[in-house]
Amino acid sequence: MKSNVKILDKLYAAKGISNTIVLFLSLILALIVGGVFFLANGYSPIDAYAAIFIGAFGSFPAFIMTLTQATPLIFSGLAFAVAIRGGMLNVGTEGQLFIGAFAAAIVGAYIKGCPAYIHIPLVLLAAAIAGGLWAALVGFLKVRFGSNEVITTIMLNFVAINLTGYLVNYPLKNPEGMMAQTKPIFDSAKLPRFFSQYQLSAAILLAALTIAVIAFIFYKTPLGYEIEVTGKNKRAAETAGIKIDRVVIITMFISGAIAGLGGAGQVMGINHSFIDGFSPGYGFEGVAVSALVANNPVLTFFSGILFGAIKAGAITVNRIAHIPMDFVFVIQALVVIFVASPKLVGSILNIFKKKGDK
Amino acid sequence: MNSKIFKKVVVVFLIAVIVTSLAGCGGKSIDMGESDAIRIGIVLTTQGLGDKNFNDMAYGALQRAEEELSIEFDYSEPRSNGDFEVYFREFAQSGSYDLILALGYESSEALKKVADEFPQQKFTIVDAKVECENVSSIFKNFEEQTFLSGVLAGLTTKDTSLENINSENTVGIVIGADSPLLRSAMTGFTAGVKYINRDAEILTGIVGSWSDPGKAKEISTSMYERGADIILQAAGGSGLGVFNAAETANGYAMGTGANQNHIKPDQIIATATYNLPKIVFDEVKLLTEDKWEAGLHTWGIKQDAVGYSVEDSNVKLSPEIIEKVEEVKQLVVSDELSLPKTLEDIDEWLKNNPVK
Amino acid sequence: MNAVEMHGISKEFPGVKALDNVDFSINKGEIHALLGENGAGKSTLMKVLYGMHQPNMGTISIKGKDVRINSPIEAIKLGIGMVHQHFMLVPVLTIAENIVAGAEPKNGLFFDLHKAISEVDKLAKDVGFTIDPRKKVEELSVGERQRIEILKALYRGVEILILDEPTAVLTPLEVKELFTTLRQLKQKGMSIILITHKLHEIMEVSDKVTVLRDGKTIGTVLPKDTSANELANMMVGREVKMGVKCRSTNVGDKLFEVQNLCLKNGDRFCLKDINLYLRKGEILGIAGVEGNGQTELIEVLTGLRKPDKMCLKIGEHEISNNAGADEFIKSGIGHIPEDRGERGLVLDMSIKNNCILGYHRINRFIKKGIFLNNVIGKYARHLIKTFKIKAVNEEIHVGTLSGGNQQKVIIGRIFAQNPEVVIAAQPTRGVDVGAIEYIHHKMIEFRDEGKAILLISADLDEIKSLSDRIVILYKGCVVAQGVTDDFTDTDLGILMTGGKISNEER
Repeated sequence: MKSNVKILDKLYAAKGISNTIVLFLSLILALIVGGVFFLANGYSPIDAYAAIFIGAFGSFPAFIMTLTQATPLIFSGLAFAVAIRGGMLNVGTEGQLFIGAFAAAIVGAYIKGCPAYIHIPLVLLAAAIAGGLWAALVGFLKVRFGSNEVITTIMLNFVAINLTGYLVNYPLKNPEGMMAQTKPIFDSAKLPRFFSQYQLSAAILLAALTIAVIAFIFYKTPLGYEIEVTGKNKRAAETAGIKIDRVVIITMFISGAIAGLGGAGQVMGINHSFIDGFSPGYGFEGVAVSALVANNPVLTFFSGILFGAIKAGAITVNRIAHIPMDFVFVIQALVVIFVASPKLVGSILNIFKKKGDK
Repeated sequence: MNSKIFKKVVVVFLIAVIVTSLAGCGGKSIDMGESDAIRIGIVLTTQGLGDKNFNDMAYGALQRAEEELSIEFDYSEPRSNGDFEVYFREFAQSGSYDLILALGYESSEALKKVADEFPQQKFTIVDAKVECENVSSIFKNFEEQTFLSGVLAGLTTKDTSLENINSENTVGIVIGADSPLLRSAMTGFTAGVKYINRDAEILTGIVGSWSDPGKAKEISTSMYERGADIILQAAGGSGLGVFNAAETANGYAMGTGANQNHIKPDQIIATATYNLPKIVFDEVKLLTEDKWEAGLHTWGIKQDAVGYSVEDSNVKLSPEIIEKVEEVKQLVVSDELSLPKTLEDIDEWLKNNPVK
Repeated sequence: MNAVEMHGISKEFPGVKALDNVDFSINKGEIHALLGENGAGKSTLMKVLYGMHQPNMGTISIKGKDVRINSPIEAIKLGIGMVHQHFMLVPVLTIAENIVAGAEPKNGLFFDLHKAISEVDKLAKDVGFTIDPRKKVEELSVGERQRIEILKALYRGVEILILDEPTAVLTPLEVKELFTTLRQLKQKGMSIILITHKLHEIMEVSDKVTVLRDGKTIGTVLPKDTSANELANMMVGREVKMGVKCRSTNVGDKLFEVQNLCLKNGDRFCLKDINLYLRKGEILGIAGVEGNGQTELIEVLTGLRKPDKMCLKIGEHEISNNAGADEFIKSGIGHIPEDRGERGLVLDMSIKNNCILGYHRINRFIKKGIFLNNVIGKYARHLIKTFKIKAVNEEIHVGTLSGGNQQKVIIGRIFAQNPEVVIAAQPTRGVDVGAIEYIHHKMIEFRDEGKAILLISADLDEIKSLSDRIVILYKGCVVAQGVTDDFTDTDLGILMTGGKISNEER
């Protein structure tokens, strides 16, 4: 497992090669390759990109939509980045997001009569603890039984999604209406929205705040230091008297707690209840969000917004350009592939250079 | 923290925002309803296009409307149940759609929210009840959908000239989940069988999942062993298990929804059809004729929204049976026969409605 | 006509001039040592010859013919082979398979194992090796593996053989065997280039020495015309004192005592009934062939591994057998790990952050749970200055430093925290002469402050020159201990390999 992380780190970091130009060219290249892909399937790439741009930045509501879509992605990107720093591949952010969202919905809907300034923190705390414990279980299994965290997190995703699915379909289903969802949360548990007609809620501020807290922990505290050392060199950490088992579990807890908060943000800011299957893969996309910025926790904010823009654009894409949404996700994947592997872009550029020489 | 990378990302990000914003302003003219044609927007279900069911049927109906009624339409494929609100708002906000269509109860709550916000916007939702002044909510009558198939099954189970029909006077029904909607399917089927065949026994099974054909096969196999010769499935994806059981147990089966007879033409004798394309097409047609109305619409046999189909089946039922079923159908269409609403009402209803 | 002639070679890496107008030549049938501190450019020079780097300037000629060597494959074709410090063998394959890999004899389309075995057998006999080509590489000792690497090069028809620090991993006996082999190869007309920084080896085996310093050729001399000390001076560029004995003059009370240490691995004892003690102001050396329990001993004495039985005291304070590494550090036991890249440092972290590793929770660096960034930065700069660490600043990754400077980071970090006892494992492994001298000097200084050091080293010369007393470890047991100067080299050799001498306890 250790070697895996190293390879990933190398791929994503590839220091000294990436610079502004390469990064920018990577984006352009992704768009060009994506464009070829559109053309090959009989769609106009210009229409497609125009639709994405309109949907993402073309108007004020579009930009708000971008931020709305970005919010859960920032959380899950951050969650993944945190785990990577501790040397773990947390592919279970999706499951942790579900568990966090579910805990938020329960505490939001069943605890009654407290004012918002108590209820909101309480709900957030519940979500963070639930998501955190769910992920800490992975850390525990790893240190206690040596289970590979990639496998356990993936498996726990299934458990989380199906367990919450069962609960909202049967025992905790909202009796009103046919939809599989929990009772709506009380108003006191709802995150305020910036504009009444848009879904964008204070969850995005919470994401920024969470990033600030994580940056503080990582760069200013002994715990952050121990996480970094453990992630980069377990044996050196052990030699330095760091209790690596504990650090692994704590790292996973923090990572899961962040993913859980992402889920809570959706419940408290957008859906106002836990809806069965509410996430189209926000957690999984966190991997890409994090990869795009070499797992730098602070920068996940920006890559989250970039991905949010693509998603917002995607919504517009099949409405006005009549292009199936799946194509947009191809673009998204291309962006990650190109940006995350500057060496690939470098060698592609070299090809052009050589041709130019001849 | 590596401030160099940080700066680079920020710079690239800002450039991207500026460039895309400019491109956005310049390219806004792609198509925003510049023609005068009636524009429809449809938000599909999370299964999306290619599901060979709901979404494809609705899409097909709109394509037909595009040709025959010269409307235009745009569609969206949400990825999750949490996305509906975003999509409805996206359509409503653009202000360029005469009608926004929605499918299925999963989207009903999101639709209600958005419909309240945009009172001038017309919405139609199929298969869900949304009470709102600007929403036409079309709800199929599930009892009526399975009723005629019940009649057909009640008659066929006595026709021992058919290869797979046994001497037992028993049929069965397998449903996907124990919900009010599915119970009404059961009511319609039971009423149909008993209406024409008072002594028939009806076995019932609940799979508890829409995607577990294995379990459905087990349930239906035991039904065939207990003497059932025809089983109707109303279990979505699990229904395939019933068809497979029919094949191994040498029984007959019936489908629900789009015509399923072609799946196992030697086993499936009929489908309790749901004519979604007609519903969608008719709704659009009403709009073009300015006859669209908000409110709750229950569509049934009379509107030809539900019914039965024996097309594509290799099992040749006797003309007498078909004739009889058609007779019963006419009684419903002419309002001479109205169906019971719950399973408990059936006994009472049977007393009041002797076979004519 | 020389076998290899490199003239005016310059090689620049971004920001560094690694080689500056270097000349180097070697005759047929010659053993030529390439001497220099780490970072002096000897590896770079050899990588240029082996086609791994392209020089910015200069010419290479092989047997009088000017060549451009673009890759190791081309180098091999030209008869140049290189044995790296880290062996590139596949443990689960046989010797024969490893040797022929990449140039396998074929029987039609298929690999011909029988032919491979007979060819390898013949080759080995030619150079006087006794090996069984059917044996798997994983069963071999380090010295044997090295011979396989040499055979691999010979199999490809190599006439010029480059050996990168070949003795770093060998026991004294294996070193002797290697030298015998090299002399045999020389007899057969091979040219051998030996990259090393061990002076006495050069004096023993090489015909010529070329000294590099800071990417420049300092000179080429014949060993018989020079001395180890003179070579060291050339290499470092100033006067150095090598291998000076410096015994403690002020030994105090017992400071650290280990009693009845037993450690089992499964049913087998790794360490059995170890008793040893350290007194204030002394260095105790652990001598022994590698793999006789040294690693396990270090791990137990630093809290990384729980012993099955032990009584450990530092001063009056007893450390429980369940204590973790953090408690050992807190109790004043510093640890210089055997392998600095693996246990000692986090290579892709800044020097600054590595300076507090293991001491990152002490009050000096933290206020209200938050790191005092300025204090830590200042501390790191202080260590860089005090311990003469060659680094641009404290923010660069420690992995970019040379081995010697990396080791100085560890040593600085430990000594600056003023521990009572230091467990120093291989403190100078893979470190250049200048740094060795400096590290030894620091250790003696520390000892003279009345502290104690437990020195574990594979370098017997290091043990002999630094230790006041010696403990000899063989198969996990202490077979002898006593005052260093009471043991002769022969005694040590016999005891380390499990032999007995009369009058063991002195």
